[in-house]
Amino acid sequence: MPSQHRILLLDDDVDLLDRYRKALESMPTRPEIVTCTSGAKALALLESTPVALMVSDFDMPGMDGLQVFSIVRRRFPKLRYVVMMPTSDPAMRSRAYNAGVDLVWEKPASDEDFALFQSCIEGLVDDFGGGFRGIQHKSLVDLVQLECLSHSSSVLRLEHGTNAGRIWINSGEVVDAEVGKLEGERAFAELMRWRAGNFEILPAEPERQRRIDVSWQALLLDSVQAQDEQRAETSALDGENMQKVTAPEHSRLTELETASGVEFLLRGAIPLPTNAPDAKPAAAPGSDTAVFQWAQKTWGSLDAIGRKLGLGPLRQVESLGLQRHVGMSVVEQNLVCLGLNRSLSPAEVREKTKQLSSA
Amino acid sequence: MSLFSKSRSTAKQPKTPCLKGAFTIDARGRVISSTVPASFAGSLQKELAGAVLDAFRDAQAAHLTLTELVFEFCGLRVTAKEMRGGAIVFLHPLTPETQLAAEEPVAS
Repeated sequence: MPSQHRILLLDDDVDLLDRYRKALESMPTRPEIVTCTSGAKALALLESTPVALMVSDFDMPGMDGLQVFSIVRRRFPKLRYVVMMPTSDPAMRSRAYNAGVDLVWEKPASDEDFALFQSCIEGLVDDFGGGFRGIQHKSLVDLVQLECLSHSSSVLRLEHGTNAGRIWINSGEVVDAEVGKLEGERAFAELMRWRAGNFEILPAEPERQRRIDVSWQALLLDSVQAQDEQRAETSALDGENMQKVTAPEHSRLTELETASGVEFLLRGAIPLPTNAPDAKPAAAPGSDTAVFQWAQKTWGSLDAIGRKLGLGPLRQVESLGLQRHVGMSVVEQNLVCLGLNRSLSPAEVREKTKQLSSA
Repeated sequence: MSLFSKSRSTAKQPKTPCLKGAFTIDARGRVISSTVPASFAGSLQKELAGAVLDAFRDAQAAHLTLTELVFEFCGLRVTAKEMRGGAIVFLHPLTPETQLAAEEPVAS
């Protein structure tokens, strides 16, 4: 079942949990409902089970709903979060929204309330597709476009899990960006890859040194193109032979996948000399799939030569390219292929590939 | 006991061919020049050259234009740089000393 249709309910009241479950199970999309009675259990479950939406009670012993949310937001930035309040206290509601919660809902008391709650949750699950909290269902591209078209001057502070970055906009022009060690255009491109997270608009810094000279239209065009390619490649992934690494499967690889400069991380079977991957249909040139097929073939032939020469098994491969760099290594008996931004230096490519080898 | 005899561990260490040097190959995979020791058989050198050229060509077919390919075995690092369809291949033996030197942090 795709994670988009799995909902996690968290409440210390078992009876109420049961009522929520019954209400949500009857939704037209028939989501899978999982329940927990404490924040700690919910966090443990999230580590192993992909969930699209979490509905949490606000008032609970131990960790309250917002405390759980503060951890969830960092570890699972794409997860949508709904908090159930016992009363419609405007101050609490405002606090929850400021923290970045997707929806605050007063605990339903009547059947009508449950019906409303059900349709609201249905809407959240249906529309799941990323977006930055505060401007629901708007991508970062929309946000930057909005600021530039209105000739605004501001600093966008963005958060995605444990990563944070900034984009400086002065008089409707993107003048600089920064994330981790990246700056300028490289940082902007990296930030545009984030599909969900939190943002805030900070006061403008007109004295900020300009490190981006390209127009915002050109920057956004490049970003949209990169996103389209990424989406097409994701849908073209060969499920049997290759898979995107997801959080519960290998947290260290996931950390690496979200590191700056990493474009994709794919893993699949190590090819045997007799099982050359040429027999498979060729993927679209330039796609992640095509790169991975090349990685498999190259790994197979180099490993075979190493064994023939008595040099032992192949440990890692780094390749520097004009379009992108690629690192390869074996992790848990699978070939893992790391697509890296071409702006990374050879030393950075080596470092990332080494991290892959030690994952 | 002779004080001047070699210690047992040193005396019995097997001699392994030290693969070190560089060779260039043209676009057809022919070895043009080489500084690799003769102990590294010509056919194996050719095989390595073929694999490197195949890797560059297959990458090109996947719309990935490579300029450099570095691969590492337990005892050897191979660096292949693309040269107009051919390549220059460097062989660096990996010893504990060279590995430690490579892992030393670089002051920024």
